[in-house]
Amino acid sequence: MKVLSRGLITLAVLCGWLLTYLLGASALRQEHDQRELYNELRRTLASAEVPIGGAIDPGMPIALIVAPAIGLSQVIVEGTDGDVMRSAPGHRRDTPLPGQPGTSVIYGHAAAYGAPFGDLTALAPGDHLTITTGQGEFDYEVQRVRHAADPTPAPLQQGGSRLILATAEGQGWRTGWATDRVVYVDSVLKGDPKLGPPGRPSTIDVRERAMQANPDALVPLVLWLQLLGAAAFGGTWAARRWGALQTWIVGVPAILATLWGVTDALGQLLPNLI
Amino acid sequence: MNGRRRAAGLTLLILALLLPAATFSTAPARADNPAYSETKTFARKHLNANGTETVADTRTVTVRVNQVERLKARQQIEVKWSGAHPSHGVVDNQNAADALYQEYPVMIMQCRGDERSGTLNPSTCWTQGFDQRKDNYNIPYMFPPWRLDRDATPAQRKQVVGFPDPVPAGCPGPVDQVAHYEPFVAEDKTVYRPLTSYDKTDVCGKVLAPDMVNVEDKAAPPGNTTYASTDKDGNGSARFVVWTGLENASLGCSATVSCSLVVLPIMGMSCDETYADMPANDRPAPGRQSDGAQAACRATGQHEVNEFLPSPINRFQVDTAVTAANWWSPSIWKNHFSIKLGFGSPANICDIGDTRLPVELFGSELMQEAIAQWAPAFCSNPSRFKFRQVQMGEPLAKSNLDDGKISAALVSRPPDDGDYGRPVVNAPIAVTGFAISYVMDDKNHNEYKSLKLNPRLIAKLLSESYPGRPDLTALFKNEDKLPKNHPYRVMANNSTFISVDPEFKALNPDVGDSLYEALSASALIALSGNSDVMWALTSYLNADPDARAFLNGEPDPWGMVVNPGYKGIELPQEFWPLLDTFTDPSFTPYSTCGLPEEFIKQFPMQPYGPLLASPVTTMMQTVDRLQFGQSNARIRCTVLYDTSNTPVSANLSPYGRQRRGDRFVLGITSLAQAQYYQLNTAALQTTSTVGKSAKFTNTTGRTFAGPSDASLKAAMRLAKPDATANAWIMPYDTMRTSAGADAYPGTLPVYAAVATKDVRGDDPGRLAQLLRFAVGDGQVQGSENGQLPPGYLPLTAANGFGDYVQYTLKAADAVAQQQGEVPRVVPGTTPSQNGSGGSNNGSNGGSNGGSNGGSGSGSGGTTVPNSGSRPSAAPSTSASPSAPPVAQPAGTTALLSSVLATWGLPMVLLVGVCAGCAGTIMRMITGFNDWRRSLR
Repeated sequence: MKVLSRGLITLAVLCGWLLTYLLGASALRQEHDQRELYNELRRTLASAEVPIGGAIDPGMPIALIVAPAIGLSQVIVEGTDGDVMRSAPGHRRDTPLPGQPGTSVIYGHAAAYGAPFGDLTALAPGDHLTITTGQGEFDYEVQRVRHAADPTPAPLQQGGSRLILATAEGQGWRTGWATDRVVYVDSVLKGDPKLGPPGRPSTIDVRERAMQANPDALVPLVLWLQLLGAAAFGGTWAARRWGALQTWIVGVPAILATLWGVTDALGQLLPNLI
Repeated sequence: MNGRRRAAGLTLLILALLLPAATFSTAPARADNPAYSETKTFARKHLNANGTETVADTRTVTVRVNQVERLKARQQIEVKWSGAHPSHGVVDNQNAADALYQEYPVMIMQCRGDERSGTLNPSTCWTQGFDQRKDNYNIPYMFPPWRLDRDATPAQRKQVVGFPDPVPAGCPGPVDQVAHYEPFVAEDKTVYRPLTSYDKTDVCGKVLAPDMVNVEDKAAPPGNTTYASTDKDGNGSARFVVWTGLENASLGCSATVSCSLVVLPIMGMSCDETYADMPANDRPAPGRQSDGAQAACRATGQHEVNEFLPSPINRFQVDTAVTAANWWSPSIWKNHFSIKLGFGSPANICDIGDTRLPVELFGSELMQEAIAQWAPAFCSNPSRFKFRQVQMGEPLAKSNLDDGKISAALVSRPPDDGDYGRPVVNAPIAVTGFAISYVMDDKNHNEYKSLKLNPRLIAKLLSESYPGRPDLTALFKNEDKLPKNHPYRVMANNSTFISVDPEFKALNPDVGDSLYEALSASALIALSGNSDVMWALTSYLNADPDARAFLNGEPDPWGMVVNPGYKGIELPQEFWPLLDTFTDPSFTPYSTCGLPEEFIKQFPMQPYGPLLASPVTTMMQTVDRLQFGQSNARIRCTVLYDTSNTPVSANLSPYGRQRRGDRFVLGITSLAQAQYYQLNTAALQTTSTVGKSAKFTNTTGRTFAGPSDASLKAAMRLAKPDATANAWIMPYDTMRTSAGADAYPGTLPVYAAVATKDVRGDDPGRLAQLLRFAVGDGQVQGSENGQLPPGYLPLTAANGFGDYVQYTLKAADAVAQQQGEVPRVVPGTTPSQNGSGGSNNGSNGGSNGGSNGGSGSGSGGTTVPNSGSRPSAAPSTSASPSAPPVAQPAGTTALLSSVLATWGLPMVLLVGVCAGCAGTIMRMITGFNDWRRSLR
């Protein structure tokens, strides 16, 4: 009876931790990554090394998006799988880069990992998005926030450039945390797009599409779980040998670190727009 | 043996000579067999003071036009004339604003109205510039030639002609002392007058019609008003781009508003010295004033025949009486030929008349012209439906089809393994291809029309192996500046430009060195995006041993070596990469900027080859360049200054218009575009018996094929059904053998790749109907809606395509049924692994907990990156504000949701709360029990 109740409370704590991590603590991680990415982008912009086309490695910072209307300012990275999107909104690799002719697509988390696109639906037609890439600054004007069953935008004029931001939203009691439906923000470039070098990939993996999980995260998850198990076992063993207080001092950081790793890997197994 | 080989060689040679001459059977009549031809006799006769007449000049002019009926938006027609007065001072750009100051030009313009109904006059004729409608002077008592015009009424010879009468309130009256303002009356009857200095305020009436400009914008597509020149024998020709109301709403030509082509050979003003009926103040004072005015009016030109005048020119450098400056003056205007133009149905007819949501086909630009003719036959028919093409690179369309975002793609190269990841049929619907189109002038500065290219020349152009600048060639040779082992040293012996390459000269002896425009000549405008056309072109290069050896680094017979950036490049490829990387402190592409060296040194170094190559995103952009002879090489320098007038940076922009007589622009277009816009197409080498290291000076031993019905048919005869790809594949290896001697290498079939599973709603039936139409009524050649335009070989049993037609009909059934069935091209074979399982969707569902629930939802896909435009709204040369194309939504946004997202976090919360409550309650119970026990 005692063991069962302990187990249940531990489970409750773990669930609570998972929610706290995804909706709260993961923002710390994202903020840290953003700072690093911002510095990296500044450096590459200054030395004109920002990739502007061709096949770009996932995770490379490629642009800065600023939307003053909703206080959004984020570095965009290439690629949209769960792994890279923990750090920043991701640019879909099979679309042209922002500022180039064609339709570019950027995905961002709506609730987890700092919720960079959490306020996206507050954008109104006429609001401006400024994108800075290696080819300069581009001003996009928001056309509409598009939910399911809304008409899709008319085909682009020849040589035009459109930017679609995509994230998730929840309805009713889900609002703001269990976001489950994809929502889009369409915007068009004011001014002339610039051509980039050719060789963009024309296909992407399933895990890089909207609302997909990153199955590759199973491997680190298993490893982190093993570490967590080892830490728990070590703690139990130490409690017998060292006494409770000593074990708490040594064990809490170890347990916390492994728990962080487990939930971080687990987060990638959730859809990439939550 | 020897005799037989010689006989074979002779046969090939004869074929080579015959084939380029053949063209598509339905091509519009060329000017040799004109749709319009008329001869008129004109005289320039002055009336002397004593009443006698002096005949200054008489000419009998014949004008021919190759097509005047069923014209479509932006179609290019050819105007030829003979017997006209030879032009004296000529300029390079015949569409430029200053071209009207050439002496004795032939002015060609488009006007609303026609002669028979009497609605045609100068005020309905379009000129791009507003300066082309006025002649103004700030000297009182000035008598320019139009004030002495013997055919003009006294009212047309006043001091100021064409000012609004009565003068509107608030208008201070004319600024000029002497002026003729020729008004322009738009289709909506609004009158625009080219009044001086009121162009901003409009206080005296409207000045600028929409689309009209008062300064020439070099970057804008030129207007179609043409001031063409006549050679010393009185002959000349020009290509003229006709506009419909979509391109120019002010002019407003359409199937219902009649318009004319006006050809006006300028003979010079006929002058009157009697001044009969003229009021005293409209007569020049006898003596010096009258004599001076008469001399200017009777002038016959200051320049030699065909003397080149460097731009810009003005009216003081020429005798305006023999220029087009006074084209509206009666004695000049009366010499016009007016040719009534008939227009077909407008390109946007489906958007205007039909509000249904269209079915969309994504992909190949090769189909643009056919679909532009097919679509109106569908949307205007209630038993059919509305469809349109969203143009995009074929590889992108294929991957979208693979993703399940779209249900139908137009491609020329189905996946090699036949696997789209879902059941898809490749139904052939057209046979067409790509062309290397060009605008080029020969040694005698006349248009060159028989270009021949072999794969090695194309490889040289694409691989940036012509340095393109003499100083660059010199640098490769210079041992002091480049280290001996520098990889680019190998290019030291390369021809600097293609026009001086001995190989090019051997195949095209009639083209001179073209040195005037050589800097911008050595490039082939290719596509920058992924495309099946680039795959086909590079396959053709790869199959040719000479071109392949050259790309592998072997020198050509004259010692030219491939650019090291491309050495050993793997072909075929879906796009052509830009790989020239040569930069050196002693070479700068900015040397044309005219800036001191210390500024230029600050600009970033960049390799020169990619600047010359400058690929474009669609073949339509290449057509734009070729129609007006504009080179796309980015070598024109524009310097940007800061506020203190210090140069801060420089832009390298496309070179733009080349000088007429020295033009040299090559680009890749579709066959149908080449036909529609009447571009010249190159004959491509099919076979060669000349060894790869033998020098040659003529085309002996080689065969060439230009695009024609016969050469396309010959190429398609070689295409074999392929069981793996489940489609017919172009065999580039066979085509270069003698079996393909008369086969055009640019031939490509177009497939409609349509999914046979998971297409929902009415779409399966509609797509099947479209497929049946495409191989039935749609293959009847003609220029009417629903017919097959020139540039396509009809896909019929008569042309040997019986099995293709049968296959497409079977495919239509499979599409209609949506059972996932894929008919086999080679009966009895089995599909490759994933061909018919729809396994992509299944496996995703498994591994991701069903999270991609909404991703396969048909043509309403939301994030389809469509970079192309509708073919029906042909890109307008100048967007007209009054008639925007009707923008229609492409569909509705599909619901994309995820079970994992919907229930993942809520379940975690629920489990956590339940476990927490249960654990706490159990803990409390055990605690209570312990407490009770301790009491005992």
